[in-house]
Amino acid sequence: MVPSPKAEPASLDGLAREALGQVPDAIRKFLAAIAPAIRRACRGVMGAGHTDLEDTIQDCFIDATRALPSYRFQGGLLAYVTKIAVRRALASRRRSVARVRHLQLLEDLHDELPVPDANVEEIERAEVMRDLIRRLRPVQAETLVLRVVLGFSVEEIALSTEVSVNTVKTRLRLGKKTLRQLLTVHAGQAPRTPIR
Amino acid sequence: MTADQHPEDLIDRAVQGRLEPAEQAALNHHLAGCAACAAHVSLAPRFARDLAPQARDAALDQRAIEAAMARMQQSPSLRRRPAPSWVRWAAAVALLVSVTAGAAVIGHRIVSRPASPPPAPAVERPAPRAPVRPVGPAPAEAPVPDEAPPAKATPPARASAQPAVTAAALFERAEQQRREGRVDAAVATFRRLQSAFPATAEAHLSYALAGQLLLKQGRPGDALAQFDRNLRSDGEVGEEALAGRATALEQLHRTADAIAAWKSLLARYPGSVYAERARARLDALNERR
Repeated sequence: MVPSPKAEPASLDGLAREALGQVPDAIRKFLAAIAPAIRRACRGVMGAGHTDLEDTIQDCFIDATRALPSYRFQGGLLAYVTKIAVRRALASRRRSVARVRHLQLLEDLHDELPVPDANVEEIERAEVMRDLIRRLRPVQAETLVLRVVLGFSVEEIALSTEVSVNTVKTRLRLGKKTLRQLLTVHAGQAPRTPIR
Repeated sequence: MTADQHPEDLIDRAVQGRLEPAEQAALNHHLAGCAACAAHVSLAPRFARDLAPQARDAALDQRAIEAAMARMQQSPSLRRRPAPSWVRWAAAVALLVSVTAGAAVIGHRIVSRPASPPPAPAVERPAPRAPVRPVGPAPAEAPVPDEAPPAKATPPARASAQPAVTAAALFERAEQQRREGRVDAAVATFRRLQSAFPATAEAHLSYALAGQLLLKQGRPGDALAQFDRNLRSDGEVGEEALAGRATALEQLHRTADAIAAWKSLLARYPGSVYAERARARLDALNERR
């Protein structure tokens, strides 16, 4: 289901090295190669119909190009740019959430017409989930997006975020604990312990 | 297994449908007490569908790439990236060497007699020049500080001087014409794009879009040709093209082919937004036969 960061073509590193030369055509080729990973991450965090999606993808392209000199050519470039895109998309969603929260859900529904009735609730639950994840601490939000929304395995998250598997597990445990409390609050029940 | 011990490996296998009954029971026990994991498992198919490739992806990527490139080229702060540390060190060392060499030459000239010819100018000249370039503001050629940069400096200038007739520009123009309701002009522009840039993602996508426009114009034969080109060319085969092709075949009264086309859509995209329509059309067509 998830395109593994390990499965990326060897030529991707070559494109990245050429893009480091700052020649426009080389950068264009590099961006075209990472576009699916960037788009996927942004769409996962923001939702397919988000009004800021395209702007955020542009921002991610710029972020990825600027971050390229820091890339050590280890661990997978797609994982590296996915992490960058998730961070940028989470920030964009935080900024715009108050502005478009309610309109957006309507747009999502409109975009996906015709939608069987049973799917409406599912779309809304997915939107709620994105919104609740956004409220977590940044490092936990990033980990949960990679895991829950983008479907990365624990090992793939470790590769992407350049931390150990145990650190990823800890972040997931803490993130899911808070998420559970937020879900409880959202369902209209008072949480037993205060949410940090 | 407590509510705080999330069985991530079981969740992965549950999402992939590869759980043994005993494992499923253990997972269910956890999910009963963990709303976060329950949401994780139940929403996995939804998120996977959201992330599946869409027909408009190629155009979206193209627009975003061009916009990002334009922003990076317009803004010096975005265009310039800090040189890697080894480049800065190399530049500093080269500068130091040149200053030292320059000082030595000057010292030599001072102590030597004025009537004597200048010693070995060919060796002196390159030394002070070489290190100046890497510490300049746009270190595009920083990894090779000694080399002159014509090959790398030329492309941006050439690119900016080029007329805007590119695949992306034609695609954008056709989309604009389509939005303005100028269907004939849009189809013509799509056709121009297809003939001028046949191997591009824009051309690939344009077959499906032109096909939709031709269908709306009541030209199913032409539309079918466009959809077929979309399906034949390399790249992603969109649900839209398959649904459009089936509709065109129906309008051409090629019932058997239309049935096969709708079935093909259902086989490739069982969860498609066109799936309901495909089933309804299949029922109607089978009834008609």
